[in-house]
Amino acid sequence: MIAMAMAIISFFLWGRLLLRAARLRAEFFLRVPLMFGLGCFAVAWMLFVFLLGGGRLTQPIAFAVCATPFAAAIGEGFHRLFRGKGAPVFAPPRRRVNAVQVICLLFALCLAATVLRNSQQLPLAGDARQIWGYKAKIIYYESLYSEDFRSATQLHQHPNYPLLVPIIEAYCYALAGGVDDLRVKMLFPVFYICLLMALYAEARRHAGPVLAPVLAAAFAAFYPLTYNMRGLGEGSASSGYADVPLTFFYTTGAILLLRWLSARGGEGRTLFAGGAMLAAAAFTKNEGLPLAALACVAAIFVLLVRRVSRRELIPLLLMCAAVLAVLLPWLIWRAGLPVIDEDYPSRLTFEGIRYGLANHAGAILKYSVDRSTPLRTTGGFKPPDAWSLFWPALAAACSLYIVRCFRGNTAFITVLLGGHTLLYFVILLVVPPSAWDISNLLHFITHRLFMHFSGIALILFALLLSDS
Amino acid sequence: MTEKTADAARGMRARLSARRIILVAMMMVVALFALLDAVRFFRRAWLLPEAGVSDRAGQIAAALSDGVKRAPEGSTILVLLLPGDYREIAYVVYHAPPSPDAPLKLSSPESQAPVPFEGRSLLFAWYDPSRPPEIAKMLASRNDQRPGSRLGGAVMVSWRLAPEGETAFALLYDAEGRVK
Repeated sequence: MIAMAMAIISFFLWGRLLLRAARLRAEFFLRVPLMFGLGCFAVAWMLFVFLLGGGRLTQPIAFAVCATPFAAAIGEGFHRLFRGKGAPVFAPPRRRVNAVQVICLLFALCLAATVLRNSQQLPLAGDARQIWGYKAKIIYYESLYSEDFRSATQLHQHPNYPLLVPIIEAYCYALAGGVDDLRVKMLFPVFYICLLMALYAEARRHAGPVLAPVLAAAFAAFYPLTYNMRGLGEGSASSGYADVPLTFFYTTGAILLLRWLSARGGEGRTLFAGGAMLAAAAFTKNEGLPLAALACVAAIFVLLVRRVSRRELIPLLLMCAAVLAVLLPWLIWRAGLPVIDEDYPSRLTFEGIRYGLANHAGAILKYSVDRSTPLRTTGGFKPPDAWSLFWPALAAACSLYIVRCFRGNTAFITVLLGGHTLLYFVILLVVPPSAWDISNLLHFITHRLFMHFSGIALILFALLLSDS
Repeated sequence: MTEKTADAARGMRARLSARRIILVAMMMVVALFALLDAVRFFRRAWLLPEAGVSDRAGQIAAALSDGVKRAPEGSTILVLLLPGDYREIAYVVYHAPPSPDAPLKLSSPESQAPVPFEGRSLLFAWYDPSRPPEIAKMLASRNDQRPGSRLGGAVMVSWRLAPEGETAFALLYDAEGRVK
């Protein structure tokens, strides 16, 4: 338990170091998630490069990674004590709080405590065991060059899935000096809390201090994040799946890009921090890579519509290049890994899409309606919940404000949301029938796919609620 | 500004304001249902212990049962127990129809006696770790659920079988070979 707490604190401290180095300033509710996200990514990336060089993730290595930001923080503390200089580590929020904020905060805290409690069960849900947790154990017990990663005769499932979650889990095991697949799941509620904080920070900019906490609190109770119909809570923040971390990284990356676009000629450091979060998304799940590319394309689209000069496009293009450079070691290594049952890119052909339109499109639409509205595809209604009411509400809001959806910076989120939906639709169209029965697959992934873009959907709702 | 354009602007403002009211109302409905969802979530997690955190063996048994029920009725299910550090995993491998030449070496005598469970037949076996390539074959065919395929699929049910796992399996499979 102490090792877990140390690991989580070390992520925050690593992130804080990076934010300091980049001199990136953000309000408390965005700075804290950024610290955690950047810290996780930095530790995972450093360890990945180390493992790639043939290293083993031993306890001394983990201690060194953990101790570095602690030493820096202690050193800075002494420096401030004796010199009395430097900005405070946490500038407390200076704004006055209202009753709605307090109620919503208590509500979100209760939900977070429940998610944390639920997370303290064995990782019994599928992917948590057989993908993320399994990879973490291979990395901890053996190395990145274990037979389980490369040998065609001894593969674990999905060898080419990204390694951020397995590496940070293995880092926790190394710190603790042994595997504890139960305590390690404490990481995931932290991602959930950070996602809520980032969403609140952004929603507040648009919807104001009364509506934003209500929006964020409603988001906190969305069932795919907290639990779902399947008893094991697959995909939720307590399950040990990588879906909540992906949603967090991707949403935070989109928020930072939106902020950069909003402040014309905005700070490059905001843009690059956004790029880092998108790179983290790509290092968390395979979906993250096309989503990162999509976010960059959406930002370029908005700038082109604004008819900015080529010079104004340069920072964005540099950011894209930086993201690619950071991901390069992973992409090169991944290219050498075997694909055993899911090879979507090779099926992205005209024939594949035509086959999907004829055979999969109906099921995709059926499950999408079933999982995002109170309608039952078999007829009638199911008991409504916040999640199934949110999507029709968003559709209604977009219809009411159709022009505003494509105006100014709102266009960035609209294009991103539209592109994201289209991307998932196309990917589902080309699901190899030999690997998955499409209905079976949709049955247990539709709510998770919706969860990935629920954060940006909430930001769009907040943007439409904006007075301006 | 003429009177006509001023009226039009006032009308536009009124429409905008009405739209915003609709938006806020929709948001409040979502928030209200979020509150109800949260109450259900709290109740489920804190007040219904059997649905929340339970003992390790109980969780494994529940997962095993869940895995077994994914197989089609009438199929034969092989519950494969894998010993050894991170390979301490049990797979529920089901195949329909049962094939005498299953590519797995069954090292346990009780595996020869299928046990009826929920309309399916269970075969328990410890996997022989000296034959690792079979894991790859099994996983590669995990999602192949077409009728007639020899290995219908595999569902991993536990990280750690020993010692807690054995208790879990005892919950399903008693000493006399009956499934509880």
